[in-house]
Amino acid sequence: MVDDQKKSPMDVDAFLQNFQGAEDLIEMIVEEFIKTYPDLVKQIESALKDREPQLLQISAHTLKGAVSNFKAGPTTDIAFELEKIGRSGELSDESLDDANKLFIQLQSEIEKLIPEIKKLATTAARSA
Amino acid sequence: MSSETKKSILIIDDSEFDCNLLKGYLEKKNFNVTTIQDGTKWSETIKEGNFDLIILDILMPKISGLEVLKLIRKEFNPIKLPVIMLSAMSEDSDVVELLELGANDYIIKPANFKVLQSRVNTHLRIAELNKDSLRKRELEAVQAMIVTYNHEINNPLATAVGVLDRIDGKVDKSTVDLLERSLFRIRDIVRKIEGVTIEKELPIDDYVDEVKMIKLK
Repeated sequence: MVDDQKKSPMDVDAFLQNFQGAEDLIEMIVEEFIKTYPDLVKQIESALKDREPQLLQISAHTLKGAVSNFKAGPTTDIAFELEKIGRSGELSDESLDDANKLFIQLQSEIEKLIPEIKKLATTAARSA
Repeated sequence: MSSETKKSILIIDDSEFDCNLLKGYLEKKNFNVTTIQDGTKWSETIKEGNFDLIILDILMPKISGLEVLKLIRKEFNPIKLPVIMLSAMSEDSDVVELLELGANDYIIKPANFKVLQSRVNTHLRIAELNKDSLRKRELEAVQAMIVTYNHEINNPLATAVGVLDRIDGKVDKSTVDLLERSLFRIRDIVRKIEGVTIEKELPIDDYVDEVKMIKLK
């Protein structure tokens, strides 16, 4: 289980550092993420419901890739744990139980992340 | 960079989000960028576009990036078409596998934009230097061919001139045949030289993958 209770949803400084000189892309990627992530979350949910490890691996991997761009450590870590469960190739009762718990954590982390990245987009739009 | 010299990059990544992010960044840096999310469409996309470099994700649902890389390398060598892999891998053995399969380089996701730009520029520069080097070798090859053919012209020409001296007013059939054969040979060689000078660019494939550099006809 990923311990995410005390971590902030993202490392804002590291994120902004990567976008130095390309600040006008911040608004675009925030919009893209807000548009994209619900489908990925749904795919993970379907993969768990239908016990499809490969779908779980791919969708968790894709979500991990997307949130890692925001330096969102806790969300990235949870998505990676789900990806690893999917990569194992089977969803036993035990691993499915773990994955479902992780999925709840994932949704909670994303809920914390979204307002943070929206703030960044607003700031970036103002300074553009 | 002027619009004429803009380099074209193809990004193959099943994640639309990652594609758009990288495309957005690289377009800001004055590259032409095309993206595809379906790795199985790499071949038709490459045929349609004239790409200078490919950025290829590893983990994709329909076909893995490693499979795509293997297929690309059957048609394009690393000089002709550099491929930078986007990898979530960090183990040394995984990286070695990528490079052994023909990847020119790799970038760990999430991409650090400055590192990405630097590696893209480096591999485009290496490709350009290699193309320059090939062009020089091509020129040297043409020069070598001209020297060879010139030599080949001189021998039959000398024969023809000698025979002409011997004719001296009394022409028999065998002498005319000999003269004719020699002159036809000269004509053939001149045509070959013409062919070499008309063909401005010899196929690069002839120089790589251990294929003999020049094929003298």
